Amino acid sequence: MEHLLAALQIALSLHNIGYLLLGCIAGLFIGVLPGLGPVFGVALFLPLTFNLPIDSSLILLSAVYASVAYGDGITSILLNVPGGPGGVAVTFDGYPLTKMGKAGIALGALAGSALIGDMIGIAALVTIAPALANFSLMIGPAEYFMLCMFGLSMVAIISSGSGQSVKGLILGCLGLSIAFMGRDVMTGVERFTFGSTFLEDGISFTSASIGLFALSQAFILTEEGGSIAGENLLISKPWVGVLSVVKNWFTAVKSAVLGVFLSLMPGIGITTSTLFAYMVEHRTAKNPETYGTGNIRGLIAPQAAANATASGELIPALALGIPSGATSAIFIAALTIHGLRPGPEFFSAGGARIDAVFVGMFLAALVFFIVGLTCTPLFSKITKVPNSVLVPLIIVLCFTGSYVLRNEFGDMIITAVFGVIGYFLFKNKWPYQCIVLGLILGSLAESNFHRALKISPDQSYSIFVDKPMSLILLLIIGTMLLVNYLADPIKKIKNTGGTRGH
Amino acid sequence: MSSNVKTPGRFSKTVVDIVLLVCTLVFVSIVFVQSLALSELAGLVPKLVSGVAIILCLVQLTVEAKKLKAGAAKQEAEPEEQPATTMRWYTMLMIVGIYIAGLELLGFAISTLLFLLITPYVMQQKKIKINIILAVVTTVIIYYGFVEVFYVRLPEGLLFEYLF
Repeated sequence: MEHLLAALQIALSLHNIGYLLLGCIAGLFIGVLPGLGPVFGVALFLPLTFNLPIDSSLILLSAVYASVAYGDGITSILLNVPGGPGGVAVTFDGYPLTKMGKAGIALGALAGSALIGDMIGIAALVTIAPALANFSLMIGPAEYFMLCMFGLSMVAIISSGSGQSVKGLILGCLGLSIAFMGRDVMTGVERFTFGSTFLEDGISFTSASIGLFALSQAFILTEEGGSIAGENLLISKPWVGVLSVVKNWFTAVKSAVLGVFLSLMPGIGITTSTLFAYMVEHRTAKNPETYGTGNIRGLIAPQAAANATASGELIPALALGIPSGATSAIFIAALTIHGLRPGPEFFSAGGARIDAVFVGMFLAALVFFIVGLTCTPLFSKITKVPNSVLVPLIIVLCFTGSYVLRNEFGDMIITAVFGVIGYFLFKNKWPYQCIVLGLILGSLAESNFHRALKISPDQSYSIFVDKPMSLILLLIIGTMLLVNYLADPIKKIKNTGGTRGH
Repeated sequence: MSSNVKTPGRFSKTVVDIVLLVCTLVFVSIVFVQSLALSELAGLVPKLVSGVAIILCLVQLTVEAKKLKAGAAKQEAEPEEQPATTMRWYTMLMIVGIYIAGLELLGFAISTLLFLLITPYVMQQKKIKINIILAVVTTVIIYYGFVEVFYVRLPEGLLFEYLF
C-alpha cells in the first residue's frame, strides 16, 4: 500500500501531469495525421526524454503511444482514412456509422473501447507480465509461420464474404510478393528490384498503406463531392457510444485479451491484431451480415485490441528485454539511456518509480478518454466540411506522411501508385486490406519458414505438422477455406431441394 | 447498348475485375519467373507464393470469363457515373502527378501552395478569397508543424538546391 501511495505521489506530481497531458494531446494530433503511427510518435519524443527523470520519460512516451493508437481510429471513423495502419479495421464499421450521421456515437464507442483495451493491456503488464513473456518464448518458427498464414487466410475469408475468398487470397499473395521485393532477409540477395536502387530497401509498408487506404479515399471523395455526412443530421452523443461499449463489454474484453495475446509475438503488431479481432468478432457474431454496414461491435473489437496490443507489446520488452515491435524497441532504448535494464527483475527491482510509470499509463488512458469525449462534437463537425476543402488537405497530408518517414521521393510515388490501385479495388469491392496484411507478414512469414526448416530434422516440411499448435492452425485454415469454398454450392443444393420439396 | 461495351470513363464491374486479375497475374508471373533464377533459399518462398497466386488468378479469371459470357455483367454493371465526376477524378489524378513532380522540383512550400489553390477549383469550390486563405494558412501550418515542431525534413526542391 505504501508502495502504491509513493507511486501515486510521483505520478501525480505537477510536472508528470504536464508530461501526461503533453503526451496525450501530441499523441492524438499525430494519430489523426495519415500514416503517422505509434512508431513515429514515440521516436519523435524519445530525444525529448534524454534529460528527464525515468518516470517522466516513460509516462510521456506511454501517453504518446496510447493516444496515437486511439487517434488512429478518429480519422478512420470520420473520413474512412486511417490515421495509421492500426486504424484500418476501424474503418469497416466506423465509416458507415459516420455516413448515417452517427459520428459522435462512433467516436464515443472508440474512446470507450480504447479505454477498456488500455486498462486490460496495462493490467496484464502489471500483474502477469513475466509469466506471459515466458509463454511467448514457447512459440517457435513453425507456429509463427502458420500464424501468419492463418491471419492471411482468415482475413481473406472474412473480408471477402461467402464464396469470394479467392480474391482475398490473391491480394494476400500479391501483398506477400510485393513484400519480397528488396534484399532477402535470410541471404541478403537482391530480389525483384528490376535494377532500381530505391527498391533495394523494399517497398515501405507505411507508404503503401497510406496510398491504399488514405489516398484512394481522397479520390473517392473527389468523385462524391458534397460532404461526408451529406444531408444527415449530426448526432453528437458520445455518451451513447460509451454506453454501447458498456452494453457490449464482452466484445471489448474478448478483443482486448486477444490483443494482449497477439502483442506477445514479435512482428505481429497493431494492424494484424486489429484485423484478427475484427475477424473473430465477425465470425462469432449472430448477425454477421450486419458487419461492414455500421455495426458498433465491428468498431469496438478492433479498437479494444489496438490499445491492448499497444500496452501488451511492452510485456516481452520490459519482462525479457525482447522488443516485439519497433515501438517497444524505443521503450527499451529509453530505459537503457536512463541506466535501467529490462528483464525479469525489472518489475521487482524498479521500486516506486517504475510503479509510477504504470500509474501514469492508467492516467494516460483516462486523460485521452476524457479529451476524446470532450472533443467529439468538434471532431464530428469535420464530416460536414465540404469535400472540396477536405480532399486537398488529405492528399497533402498523405504525401507529407509518406515522405517524412524515410525522406525518399520514391515513397511518394509508391503512395500514388497504391492510391490508384486502392481506388479501383475499393470501387470493385475487392478486400484490399489483404494486400497490407501480406506486406506486413511477408518477411516475418518467410524468415520463420526458413528457420523452421533449419531446425527441423533433415530440413523436412513435417515440422509444420509435428508441432501441435502449428498442426491445429493448419487444420483450421484448411477447414475454413473448404467451408467457405463449399458454402455457396451447399446453399444452392439446399435451395434446389427446398424448391423441389414444395 | 450492352454494359460490356466500353464507354468513355465507364467499364462494367466484370471487365474491371478481369483487368485487375490480368495485371496481378502479370506481376506474380514476373515474380515467379525471376525467382527461378534465385538460389533455393532466396527463391523458395517467393516461388511458392507466386505459384499459388498464378493458380488462383487463373481460377478467378475463368469464373469472371464465364460471368462475362453469361451476360451476368449486364446485371452487375454499376449505375452510370456522371461524366463530370469521372472527369473530376481523371483531373485530380493528373494534378496529383504534377504535384509529386512539383515537390521534387519546387519543394514542399511552393508546390503545396499551388496544389491547394488549384484543387478546390477541380472540385467546384470557386470562392477565390476562401481558397487563397485556406491554401496559405494550411501550407504555413503544415510546414511549420513538421519542420519546426516535429523537426522533420520536407522536400526543398531541386530548384532551391540549385539556386542556394
